[in-house]
Amino acid sequence: MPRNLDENIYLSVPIRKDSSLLAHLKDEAQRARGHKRIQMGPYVSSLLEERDHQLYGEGEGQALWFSSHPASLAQLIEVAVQKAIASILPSLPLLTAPVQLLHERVEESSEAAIEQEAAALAASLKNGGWGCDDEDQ
Amino acid sequence: MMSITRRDSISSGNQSSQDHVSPFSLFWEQTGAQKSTISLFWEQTASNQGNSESVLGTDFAQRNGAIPMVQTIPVQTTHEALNLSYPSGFDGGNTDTCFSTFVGGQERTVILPSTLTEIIGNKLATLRGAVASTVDGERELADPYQQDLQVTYQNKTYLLGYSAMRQAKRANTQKGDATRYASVEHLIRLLAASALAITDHCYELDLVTTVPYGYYTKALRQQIKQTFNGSHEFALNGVERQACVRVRQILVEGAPGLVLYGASSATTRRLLIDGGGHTTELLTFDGRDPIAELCRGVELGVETIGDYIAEQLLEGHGRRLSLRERSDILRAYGSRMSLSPFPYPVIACGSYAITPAELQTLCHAGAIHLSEAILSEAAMLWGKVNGCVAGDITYQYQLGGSVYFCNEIMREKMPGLLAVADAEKANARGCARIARALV
Repeated sequence: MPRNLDENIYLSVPIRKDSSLLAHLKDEAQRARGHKRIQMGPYVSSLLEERDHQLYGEGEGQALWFSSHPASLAQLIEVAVQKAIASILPSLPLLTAPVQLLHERVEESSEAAIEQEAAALAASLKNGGWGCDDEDQ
Repeated sequence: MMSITRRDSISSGNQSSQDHVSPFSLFWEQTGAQKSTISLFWEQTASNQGNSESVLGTDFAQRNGAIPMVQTIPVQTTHEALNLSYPSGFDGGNTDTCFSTFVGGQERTVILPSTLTEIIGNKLATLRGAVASTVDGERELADPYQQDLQVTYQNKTYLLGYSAMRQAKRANTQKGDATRYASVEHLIRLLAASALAITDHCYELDLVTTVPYGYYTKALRQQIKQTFNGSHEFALNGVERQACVRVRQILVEGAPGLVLYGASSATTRRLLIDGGGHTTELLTFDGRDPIAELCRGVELGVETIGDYIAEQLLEGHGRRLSLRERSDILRAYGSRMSLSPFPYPVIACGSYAITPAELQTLCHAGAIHLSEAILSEAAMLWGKVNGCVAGDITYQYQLGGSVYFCNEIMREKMPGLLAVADAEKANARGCARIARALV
């Protein structure tokens, strides 16, 4: 497989011989053989990432995940470093705990609050707010 | 609250007792090209002046010499119930068109692809007639986004939405054209989307709409009003309709979303990223007031990902994507986290086909490129605190279709950037709320 060391980072990842992932990869490689410009890096990373999500979703613990993209590698290293620090300094969980990310979505405000916001904004617009000085206001 | 015109009429004619059917009646009065009023109109005859009994006065009163005296009185009424006017929001984006209004007190929102093309000649009609008619407005579709839409306006016929992508190579969304917002094509998007949401034959729109920050000029706002305002007769899938449009307000894209989602931050500094098909707005507000020097519009959007995918497939596989394939790929990737994701289309390349996994990888790579470009612009505008872009602003909202492509990636550098629910509808729905407050 041609390797582009300038753009991609390659890691070796153990895959069980009888796993469906390996069969899938072989199948994809077989199909890709005829293409001169096939990009195997992101190809493989997508499959591995998918597998990782499967494992993670099934509660088997977070699997090592891999991607050829540097941003993903940086995240991987960050997690590894955090784990290493946590193992050395178990008494300081607050220092080593990952930042709590806000993954939830913002839901709509209450109906009353929406109406209030709309009325306040409308009043502001009627008074020439937002630079809206159109003649028909 | 609306104004109703009352006409007190004194008649010189003689009406029979069967005319005494009601003390007054409501009827429509067309007072101009753009506005209708309801008139409360009754007549006092010589016989009933003494006991103040009112007689139904219609146009025959005028024919018989009734002298109308016009008086305006305020009457509380429900606009939708009388089919008077619908407060509406319209977000005609470079990828999708979204229209929202209130029908019978219930919110109703329609989303369509913005792609449009004019039909020249009747080749399509001939073909459809030979096979089967699908542009008849009767076919029930599982996915309204993909319905066939044909609009006739001012003796020209247009295909709109998915059917335009399917049928015409030269169909487009006028992406990147600053004048698109004041174009006839944009008006047609509004007419079609509103006619899908509103079933009345004739209806009136009190409209609030948006333009990107970079295009927000007084000249463009006036051009939009010139194009949109007025009475428009058109046909949607063969059914004749009439819409009276009055543009109440034109806002910067993104800002209306705060009405729906920003109540908890209404008194604080907050930022908003609205990523659409071709543009992304980076806006900062102090409460409800925009801070001009901390706002910017950049020409980056979901179509940037589409461009990337198209280039990669052309380079890697010698395969040129159609508009429909490109739209389907983006839609599949955008819905990957939903409960019912759309499938990737089959992209045939001669003896083989591109796998869904590769299409997803390409989309992901495109999303990373787009996210990094937006983050770069955001960092220049807002700066960084401890490595986090705009780390000094607590409330950060992201809306628009790009949420489904970029939010997860962008949160690596903007951990406080929260996606809003139904992000693709936020602008139009927020506009409709503002329209209702303005009317």
